[in-house]
Amino acid sequence: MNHNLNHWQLSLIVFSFIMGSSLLMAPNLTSFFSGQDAWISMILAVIIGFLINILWLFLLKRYQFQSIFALNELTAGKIMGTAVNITIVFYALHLAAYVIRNLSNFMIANVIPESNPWTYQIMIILLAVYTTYYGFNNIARVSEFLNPWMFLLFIGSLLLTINKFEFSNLKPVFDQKFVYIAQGAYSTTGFPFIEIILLGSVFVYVKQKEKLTKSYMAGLLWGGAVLIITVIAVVGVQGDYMVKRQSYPTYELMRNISVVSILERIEVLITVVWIFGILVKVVVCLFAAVSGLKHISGHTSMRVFLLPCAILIWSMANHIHENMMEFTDFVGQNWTMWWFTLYAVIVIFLIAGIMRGKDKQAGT
Amino acid sequence: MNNKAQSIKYRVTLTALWGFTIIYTISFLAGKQLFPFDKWIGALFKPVYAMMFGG
Amino acid sequence: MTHPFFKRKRHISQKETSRSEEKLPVSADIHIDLAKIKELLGNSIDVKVIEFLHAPVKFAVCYIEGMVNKQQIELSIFEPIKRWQQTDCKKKPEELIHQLETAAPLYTYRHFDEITAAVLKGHAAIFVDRVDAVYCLAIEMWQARGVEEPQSQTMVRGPREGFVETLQTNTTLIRRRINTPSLRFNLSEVGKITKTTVLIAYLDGIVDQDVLTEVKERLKNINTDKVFESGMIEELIDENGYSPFPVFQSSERPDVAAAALTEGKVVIMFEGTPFVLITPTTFISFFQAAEDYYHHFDLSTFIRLIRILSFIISISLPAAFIAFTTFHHELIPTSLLVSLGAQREGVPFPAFVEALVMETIFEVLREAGIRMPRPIGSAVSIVGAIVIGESAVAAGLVSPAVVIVVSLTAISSFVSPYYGFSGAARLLRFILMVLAATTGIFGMIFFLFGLIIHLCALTSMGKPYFTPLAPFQSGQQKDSILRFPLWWTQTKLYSKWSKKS
Repeated sequence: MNHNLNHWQLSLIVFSFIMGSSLLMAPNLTSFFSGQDAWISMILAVIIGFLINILWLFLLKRYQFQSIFALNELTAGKIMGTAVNITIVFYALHLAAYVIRNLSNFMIANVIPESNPWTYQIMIILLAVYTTYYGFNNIARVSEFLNPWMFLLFIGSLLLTINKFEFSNLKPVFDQKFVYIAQGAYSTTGFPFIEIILLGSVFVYVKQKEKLTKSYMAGLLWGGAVLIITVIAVVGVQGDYMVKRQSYPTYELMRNISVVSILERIEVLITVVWIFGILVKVVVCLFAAVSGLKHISGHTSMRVFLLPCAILIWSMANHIHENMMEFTDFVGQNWTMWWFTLYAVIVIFLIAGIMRGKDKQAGT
Repeated sequence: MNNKAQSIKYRVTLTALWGFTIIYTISFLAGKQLFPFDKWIGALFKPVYAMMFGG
Repeated sequence: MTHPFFKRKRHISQKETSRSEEKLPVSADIHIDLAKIKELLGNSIDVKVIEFLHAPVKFAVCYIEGMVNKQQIELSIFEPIKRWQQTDCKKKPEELIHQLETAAPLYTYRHFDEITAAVLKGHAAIFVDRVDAVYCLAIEMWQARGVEEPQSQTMVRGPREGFVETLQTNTTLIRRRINTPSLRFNLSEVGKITKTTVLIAYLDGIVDQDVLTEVKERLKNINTDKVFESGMIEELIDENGYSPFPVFQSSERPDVAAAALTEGKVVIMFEGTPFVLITPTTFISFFQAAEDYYHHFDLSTFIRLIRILSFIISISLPAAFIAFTTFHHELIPTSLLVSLGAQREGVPFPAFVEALVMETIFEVLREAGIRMPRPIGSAVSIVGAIVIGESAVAAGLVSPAVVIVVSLTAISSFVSPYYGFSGAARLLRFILMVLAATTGIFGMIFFLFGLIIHLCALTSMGKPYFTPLAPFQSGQQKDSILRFPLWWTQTKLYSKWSKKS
């Protein structure tokens, strides 16, 4: 199993992770609270996400970018550290389950209504297990190859909607109270900007550590920029009244594309981009989970854990929520807090570790 | 080499993982919510959310 | 760590199979030796032992009929020895061998296993009385096909020579193209029964040492009784056993092999087949024909793009047709949809069955076209063209659109310069059709992702298979999907650009 990746591949992974599943969700999540000021919420979320990740990377840099599982044991002690590691594994599996549920929800609701959600769940889990089986290097290469195409597809389909863009949909600016704008930013901060701390299990495999921070942040900002543009485009074309009522407004936006008579109904293209982002996200989660389990068990290989993790993700994806409404409510209310708690716990341990001089022991 | 301790840790982890997976999957297939994680998490963060945005 | 579930065992400890009596040393008595060699080779009709037991110095010659140059035996062994035997001076048995008049290499062996091996390779073994050694003269010659134009890889411009079944000729064909002293041919032997000669060719100093050691290691670890074609070796030393994609480039063209050698690759040559194996190879090299370098670069680039397009078509066109007509009507322009619907009027099967049946029929026709005797060939093409092309449509079994799709797919699958590679597309097409029939275009997307994951996981002799694309290597882009001009490395743009990176 080869896990190594270079800084360019890391950038692209971060980019896919950020853009991935949020591409279709972000406009609704922000606009639901902040209306036509959704783009301000999005910018706010990117800024908060940027600050959160800067702190995170700064702390990890002090520890020479060791794996977060090893660092937890180092900073929190053997027992507490293992407890935190188990929590991270649970978080990762839980997130993967949500992402997959999101995919099958989307498929059933919008694309092929008469089909069974299990088909899509099982297919994407199989793909994730397949690539994780070969190590993290595999998904890094896959994203290196596919990302330019995905970016092209995204930009291309966005450009095709430009002829329907109306600035009046975005006006008046700052119409909403700041609380609502903040509330819009709140839900998109956790999803995806805090979730991405799961990539902490990968940093140890990045070859050029000195370029890591820069490329990670570049990927994050590019992903954030794409989300901001998406929100602006979606709200600008459809108006916030429509966006608030759609679960997947970006997809609906692409449905409206009509440039010349041949370029119609090409929303499928944006779905490709989205599914790829979902794949990357699930793989990162799965990888974090199995490498955490590998660390906890002290085993030499992580392949043994793939099968139980895959089954657990699948059953959790189906079982965690009864229906879509519950799902959306839960994500909107609790998701950021839920992830921020994990982030805060690890960060506090890391800071405490630095104070006690533990960072000098890391990597030796 | 602490081979034995390693293998015990490994076995415990793997058994626990499989055990949880099987219990959870059975509870899913039987339609019983044994682990309502969403409810627990929701209960945990409801006050915080209400404080921030007023419900 | 390892999961032996699907993995085959590569390193099987080889028991020494050679029988102990073959290790017997040669004795000084010619009678004992001849009895021994006759026992070892058996009384086959093609084994000839010609004895001169009444000459002053007794000697005998053993060879296999049809594998040696008989005229040369006559002229360079019998004639001079007979002349020498007839002279009156005192003769020492050791001197006999110095009488030979030949340029062929002479080997001296003292054990029977070496002698039998040499005789079976086409040497003539010379037994001399009162000498405890046997001389083997390498005068092998057998009926071989002349150098002809390669059948499997034809081209418009370029050399017309192809490899033949004889290694000696093949090494010459390469040697003539690369006149450098660093060209090496390394000998090894494969197969417990067939003991086939395999040559590992490389350019010393340019070759990747890791690859070279890996190739040698794997050839050494082959555990098999018989090998008759390089395809068998390919399967035995391939590291990704279950992949449909070939990770060796098998070529019949000496210019391709020579070009690969100069790029630092290893060429595995093989007695008894005109196909050599080139390794390590990349996915994209299966889209590159030798001819690309002989034509102007803009045309070559265009042709490469066409090849990639036809690869994509040959994998996905029937599946896309199924997906669009079954699930995604909205993606088809309305007028086309109407005409497609009108065509399908009265066709009893769903699009998937239609396409599957047509694809299967086509594969049957194709196989029949290869296997049947030449004179019947036209019969099959008539039946294929008329029955499948027109009658099936007229009878309302399939719609005309499916016929177009299947023919286009079929033609596209012939574009690949390497036969083994288009095989992968042929097989994957059916899997993709099933996915498209069940989950529409999303099944195809999942398949695409799975395919890319698979390609990124493949290695060829430990080197990444998908390499100039992922991991991306900007330096190699000058000859991957596009072919830059040959003078590209001398341009200012290139030097500036390479300095920057």
